[in-house]
Amino acid sequence: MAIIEILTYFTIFIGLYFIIFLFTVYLENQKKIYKGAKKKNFPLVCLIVPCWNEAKNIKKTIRSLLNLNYPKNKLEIIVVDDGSVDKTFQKVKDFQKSAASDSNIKIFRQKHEGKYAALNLGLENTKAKFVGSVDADSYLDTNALEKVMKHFENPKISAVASTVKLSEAKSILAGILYVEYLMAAFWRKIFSFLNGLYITPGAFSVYRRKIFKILGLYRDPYHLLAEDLEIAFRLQKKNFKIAYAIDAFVYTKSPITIKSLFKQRLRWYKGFLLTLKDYLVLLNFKKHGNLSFLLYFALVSLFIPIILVSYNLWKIIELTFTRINQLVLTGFDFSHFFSIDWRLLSFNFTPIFILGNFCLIVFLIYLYISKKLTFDKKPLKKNALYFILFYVYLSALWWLAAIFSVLKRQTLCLIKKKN
Amino acid sequence: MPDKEKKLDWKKHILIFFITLLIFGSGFFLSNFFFEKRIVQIRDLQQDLTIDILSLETQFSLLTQIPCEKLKEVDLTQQLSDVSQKLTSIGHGLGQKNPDFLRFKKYYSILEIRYWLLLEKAAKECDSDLVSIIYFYADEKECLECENQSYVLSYFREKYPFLRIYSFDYDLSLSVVQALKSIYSLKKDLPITIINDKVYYGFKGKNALEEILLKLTATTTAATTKIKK
Repeated sequence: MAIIEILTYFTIFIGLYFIIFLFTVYLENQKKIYKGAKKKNFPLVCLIVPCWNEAKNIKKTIRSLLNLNYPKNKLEIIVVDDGSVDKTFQKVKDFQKSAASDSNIKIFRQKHEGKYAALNLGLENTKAKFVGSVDADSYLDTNALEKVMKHFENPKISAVASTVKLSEAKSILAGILYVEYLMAAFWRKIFSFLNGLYITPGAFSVYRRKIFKILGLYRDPYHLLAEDLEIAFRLQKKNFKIAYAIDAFVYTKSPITIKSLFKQRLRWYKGFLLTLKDYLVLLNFKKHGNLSFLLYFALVSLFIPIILVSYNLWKIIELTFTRINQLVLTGFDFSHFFSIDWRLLSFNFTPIFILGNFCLIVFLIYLYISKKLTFDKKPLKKNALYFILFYVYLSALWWLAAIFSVLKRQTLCLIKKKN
Repeated sequence: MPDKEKKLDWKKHILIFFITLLIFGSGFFLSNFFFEKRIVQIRDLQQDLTIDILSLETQFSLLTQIPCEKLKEVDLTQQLSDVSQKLTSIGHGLGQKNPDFLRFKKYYSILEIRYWLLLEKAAKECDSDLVSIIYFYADEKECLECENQSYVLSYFREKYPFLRIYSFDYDLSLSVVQALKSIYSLKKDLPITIINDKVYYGFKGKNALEEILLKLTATTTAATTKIKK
């Protein structure tokens, strides 16, 4: 058996273990998916919208915040222009003037320092008990804030993450990402049951303001816009609880081209690896139990798409070489090349084939559950097919790039230190 | 001390590990189950083939002279080829050294030789223009060119219906195969092709084989015309 085959079996085993584990947690907590009771008290919430060159999107984002099903006098909106060179600031100013008198919109401007600095400026200018971050290219579902705030009725909850959905899925690429986001919602909900959620998406998450007093403000040491991941790691390190509101939706735009998607993912995954390096204590089973397990799995799973793609490529190259060789042997006589004896054509039911198909069925079940839990109405068949066909190749590509990029960075740091 | 809700439930993880192991094992079990099914299929095919050959032999024995028209009607080449292809596929799954696979291979080799002898006998009596190729191969470690030679021969079998190709594993420990090797005094220089009793060592490509066939069948008009075409 070739090494790549052994690695593929290992990958399948790890994958199977994880999906079974998630399924058992789901079954145990099925009744706790949503926070049922209607909200009675509405504390003051400040939503901070950091923006940089978002003239195209900012109006839609602020409008979605003004349309939230939340008392207007309990909602404060702070827009921080992070040194935009387009008309973002002007557009927000105009919007502020034209908005109803009861809408509480504040606008600040700073020189371009990064998203984390913009969020911190917002934090310094509010007295609200709860603060949320909203990406300037995203817009909220009208009930999103109310659904999120329900979780804070539990005093132990320090932060609540929401479900990020793609606003549209018109291209194949967007279709693949649409499915990915949907699956992520299900996984994150399960992670939250284990108290192991390690991200509070920048698109929309809400925190108790006091945690920033205890833990300090937002940070982004690697300038990778990973402040949402960093704050979640910091929360977890101090055992603050992060809840997940699966029914609170925030809609965002997907990268349009493969190149822009690749850039985004490289940033995310590089951010994940570098931030984790700073919080290695989270990998201590004794201190962080389930969270450590989930993080270890995340690390191992870096290699899952890489191994699966290597196995696929190995098979494809082998087959292509054989077929070309056959053509050469027969002097390019295509008559024999295409002759297939259908009577003898039978699939090789190898364990990889059987187990791979089992994983595929489980994936479809998970996708169905995710769709149901997030009340998704979009037809998914086509997008699911695109996801099955292409996602593994895409993720192998960006994980590989992220690993190489981090290793390169670490080597450079070591060389600098030695010198 | 970890947070209570964060605490890892080891018992649960051990249980999940065993469930995973069970599902993983089921994958191997199912794969084996399908393989067994294919083995049964081969066994059936071989039994059918044995009956056909036996029936032909009996017919020839019963009749005082060989019925040439019967020979044209009954062609077991395709059936032999079917068994051969299925055997190859099973060999990939079970491994070339698997005792079950070797048993099938031996049985198949005997069937091939019996069919070959039968056709040789019939060809003499009926003035047939069939050309027999005996082909010796070995596994990839012993013979790098054998896979290519097998493919070229399968291409020839399809292109020239008057060809009868009988392939044997050089290293198969079967007395009949050993006998065949000693009849032609073969040395281990694989692949070996024996065309109308003439031994050729080493890989023979498409052009080389066509040239040989052309020379050998120069006297047989029908075959020559087909090759030239």
